[in-house]
Amino acid sequence: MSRLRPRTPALVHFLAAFALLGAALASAQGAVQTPAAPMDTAALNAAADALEKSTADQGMDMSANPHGGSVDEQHPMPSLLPKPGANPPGSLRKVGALSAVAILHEGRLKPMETFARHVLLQFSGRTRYDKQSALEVMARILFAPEMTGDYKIFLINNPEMVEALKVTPEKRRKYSFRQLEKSLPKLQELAEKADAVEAEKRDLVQKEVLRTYSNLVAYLNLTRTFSYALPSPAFTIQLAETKVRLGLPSDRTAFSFWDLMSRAPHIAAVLEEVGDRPMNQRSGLEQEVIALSQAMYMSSQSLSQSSLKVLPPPGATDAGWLSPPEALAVPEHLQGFHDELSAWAQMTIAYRQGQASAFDSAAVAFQASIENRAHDQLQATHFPLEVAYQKGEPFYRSLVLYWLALLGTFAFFLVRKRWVYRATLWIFLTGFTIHLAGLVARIIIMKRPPVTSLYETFPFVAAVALLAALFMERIHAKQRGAGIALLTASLLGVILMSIAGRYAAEGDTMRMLVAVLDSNFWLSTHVTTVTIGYSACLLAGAIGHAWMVRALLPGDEGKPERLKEISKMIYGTLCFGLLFSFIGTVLGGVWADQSWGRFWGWDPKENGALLIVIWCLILLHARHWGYLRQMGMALGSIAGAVVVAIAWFGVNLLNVGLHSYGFTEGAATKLFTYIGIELLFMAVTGIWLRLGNAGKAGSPPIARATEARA
Amino acid sequence: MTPRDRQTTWRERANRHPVTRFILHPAITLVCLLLLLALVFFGTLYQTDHGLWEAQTQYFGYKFVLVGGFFPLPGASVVLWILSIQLAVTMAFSLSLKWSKLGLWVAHLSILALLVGGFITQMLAVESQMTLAEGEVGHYTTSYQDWELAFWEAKGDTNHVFAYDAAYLKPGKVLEVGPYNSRVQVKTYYRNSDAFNTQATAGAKYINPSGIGTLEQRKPDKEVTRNAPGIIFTLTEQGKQPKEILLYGMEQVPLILTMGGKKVNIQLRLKHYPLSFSLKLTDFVKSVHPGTEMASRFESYTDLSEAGSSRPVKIWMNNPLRHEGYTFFQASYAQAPGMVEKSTFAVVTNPGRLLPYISSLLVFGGLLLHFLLRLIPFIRKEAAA
Repeated sequence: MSRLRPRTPALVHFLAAFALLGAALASAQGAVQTPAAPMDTAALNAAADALEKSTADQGMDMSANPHGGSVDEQHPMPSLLPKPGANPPGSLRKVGALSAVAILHEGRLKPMETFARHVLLQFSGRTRYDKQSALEVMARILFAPEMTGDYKIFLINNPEMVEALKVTPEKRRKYSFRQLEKSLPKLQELAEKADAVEAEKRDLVQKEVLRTYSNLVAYLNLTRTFSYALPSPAFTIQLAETKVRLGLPSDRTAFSFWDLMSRAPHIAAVLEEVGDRPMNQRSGLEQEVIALSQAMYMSSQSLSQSSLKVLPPPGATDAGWLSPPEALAVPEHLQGFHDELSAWAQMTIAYRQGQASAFDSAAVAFQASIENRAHDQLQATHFPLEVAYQKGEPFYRSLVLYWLALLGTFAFFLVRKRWVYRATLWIFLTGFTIHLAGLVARIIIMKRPPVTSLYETFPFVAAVALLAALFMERIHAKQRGAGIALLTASLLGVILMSIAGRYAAEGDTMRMLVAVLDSNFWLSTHVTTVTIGYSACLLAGAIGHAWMVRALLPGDEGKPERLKEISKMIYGTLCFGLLFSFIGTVLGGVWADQSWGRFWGWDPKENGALLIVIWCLILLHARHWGYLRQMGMALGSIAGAVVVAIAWFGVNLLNVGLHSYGFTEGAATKLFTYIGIELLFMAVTGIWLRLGNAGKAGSPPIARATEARA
Repeated sequence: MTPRDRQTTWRERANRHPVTRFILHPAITLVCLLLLLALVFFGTLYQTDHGLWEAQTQYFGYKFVLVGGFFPLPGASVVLWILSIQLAVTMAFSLSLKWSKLGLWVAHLSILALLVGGFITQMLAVESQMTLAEGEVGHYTTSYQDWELAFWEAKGDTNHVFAYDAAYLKPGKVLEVGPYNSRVQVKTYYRNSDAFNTQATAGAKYINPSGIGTLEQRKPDKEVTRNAPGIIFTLTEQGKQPKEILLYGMEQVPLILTMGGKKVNIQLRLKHYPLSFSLKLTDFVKSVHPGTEMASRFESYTDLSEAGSSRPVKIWMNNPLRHEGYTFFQASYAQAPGMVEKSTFAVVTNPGRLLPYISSLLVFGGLLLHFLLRLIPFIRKEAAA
């Protein structure tokens, strides 16, 4: 409790009275609503009840049934989200002041920028909505929730589910809260059924039901985070003398919880005067003030499970942070976080009135006070860098540039102009630099090597493979091999970064680690080397494709030489791959020996890495003894890429062992499709080449002419 | 050409010998490597349904394994032996002695060392565990799966134990229990069994401390650590009436009998490995990432006592305690409201522990050397071209 502003005794007195009143009410009425776990199926009920209470309190246009709290098909259901009234709130587009506000989410302190993106990604699979950034959407949900009811931000992939919910299907598969609201009872029923099924045994529809359901609950809870700052009919003051006594403006009748909270000393004074005087001896003013304080208590206890955990509790650093509704419910927090809650209330008002400077200054004040409270925890973060990383989207940008480089290399092979080659190389290098910058930013932010999740391995593997390809391009550019490594590099960049993009859609990609993985030494040695091994073998596979395609295409007298160049690249990359796969595998053994006392545990992931090592050994020995020549090595390296795919994701599909993190839906189908395509490619190109059709065909004049120029 | 080149050395002669040629046939190597690939792949798949232990004994042992139930492949140990022999013969007779092959020499020699290290580990490493409640002192570790029939009497603060490994407990076998002038004749021993409390209803047929009257044999479990063995034997003390005794592996208390005027505990228990030192768990700490249930750390604070002196030791994830050839790893824990916290250590002794470290480092060095020796001239050539 280091930084509490001294308060007037009256406020303390009021808070004590407030707490006593709460206890008395609670015992009189039985249980006060208790918070439910976020994924609990009871959560929607709680959310619905509580939201209804607070929207009823807010007095904003309710459609029907102000008394019924449950979601019931028998009665017309009231809207869980208020509709914009006659005077809809304004909004602010510039909410940048929020971007670096600290939130504790999934065990990590992250800036609001990351949180907002995570939430919008979870809802919609995108980080923008209708030209609004994730942060702007988040600000709207928080401060002017009634304006977001028609935002089509809820992605439902499964058509069966849309049908079951009796919602009119949307082309883009995205629905607004108001569209889905009518089907909430049905969704809740489905979610309860799905929840009863064991997590591993749920089918796709059940998973989609639970995902959508928890998204809607999370959304509702977020919309209610700052309802305490909004006027509510529960806090209606009829008597002019009450307003005068409490120092409230006389031209309004509905006030917010926080309006009254700021008049707490006055309320406390009235309560003190009343003492235990019986009901019939109380004045109208006194009765109104007592009713108000009761309403305040009830309102503070209608808790929502807002995920906006922005308030660090005093003391322990490993305790969770609190959301504003959680702080409101406990008198000591209400007192302790008075300044912060007040700042949020000011932000809410300023946002709705479109006052940018008031909004910014409240945000700055809030942040200053949090920095004071959680100084040590915030010291360890890199919010400016993280915000820049989130906004900069380096991996997406590099993907775009790799696409351009890919087109550029195709153009180069067609026209064989030196300037095309140079321009392409520069585009590629720019993309690669941005890519590396993204990796470095992740290393700094998370303070660990960027290889701790399946998602993270994609940009990392891509970076290593691309670096190796650049090196090869450098060696071979002077020969007839110019552009080939660049082509494979761009192609690999496009493929791997696209897959990474798909994985990024699962939410925040910077997560905390379970205890056993949390070892920077082993992460940076074992995991990086093993993934470097993956990279090299994938690259060898990519070059293998290039060899097969080049061998099939007609060419001039330089073709054998060119094929030989490519073959050398395959060999070199495989050697590199063997070296790193081997040392990576062994280091994994050493880590296992350090952690569990066994060098080798036949864990599926270990075995996967071993498969790569054995496959490289087979290829290199077979080449050495002449069992495999150029085409054999090309095909072998393609098969090597399949082995890598199996080791990389295949073992995660088995769901056993210590490495089975990052299992993703539909990954099995994709993996089998990939393997199928590769096998087909190998069979078709191999047979075609063996039959010798391509070799005998003459070169078309264009190819001959351009190659002569090159 | 130097004169030495023209002479045929013993190495070259041996290398040309038909037997050597046969042993070193490249096809054998490639087939063995392909077999290994298949075994690792299918063994991993097999593991998902049948558990690690079963997969290891089936696929990585010495017997033939039927992949998919019909396709026979030799066990990985056989394949590894063939490859090891090839490797040894290659280095003895075949691998070129030129300096340029130094990298290959180092790599192959170290691979052989790695395989030997694996063999030593397989033969000699002992894995056991120790679970301590806070405040408890441990003097021994316990096997995960090996059982023993133990007799002991408490003398002061130490136990003097006489035990037979489960391997001896075969029906019909007669075992001498020297210290107590007695003899055990095994009637029945089940690797896995169910016990039934029929003594209360049917009357005591066997002596048993927990009221068990019948054992029923069960199929050994997929997870070998889940087996609950049971034994029925006749204990005959010299000059006394024989006693029929039934013991079950899951029993918490030993049977206490008076033998030769001493109180002797008898129990069928997981094998104990006594330590020459003791470990006391003073505190166990589990930390979580803030606001979540996800563990960020498990730490055991212990006191290691030996020969009258004691020192504090912290054991946590990735940071085991190594002492006198034993390694203690933080493996598990038990925590519940109102219960003393418990911490479980995996304990390993492995004389071959350092071999994989050294040899893999050398393999890496050798490969690196070899590839660099090939890469540098290549780059020079390319640069010159």
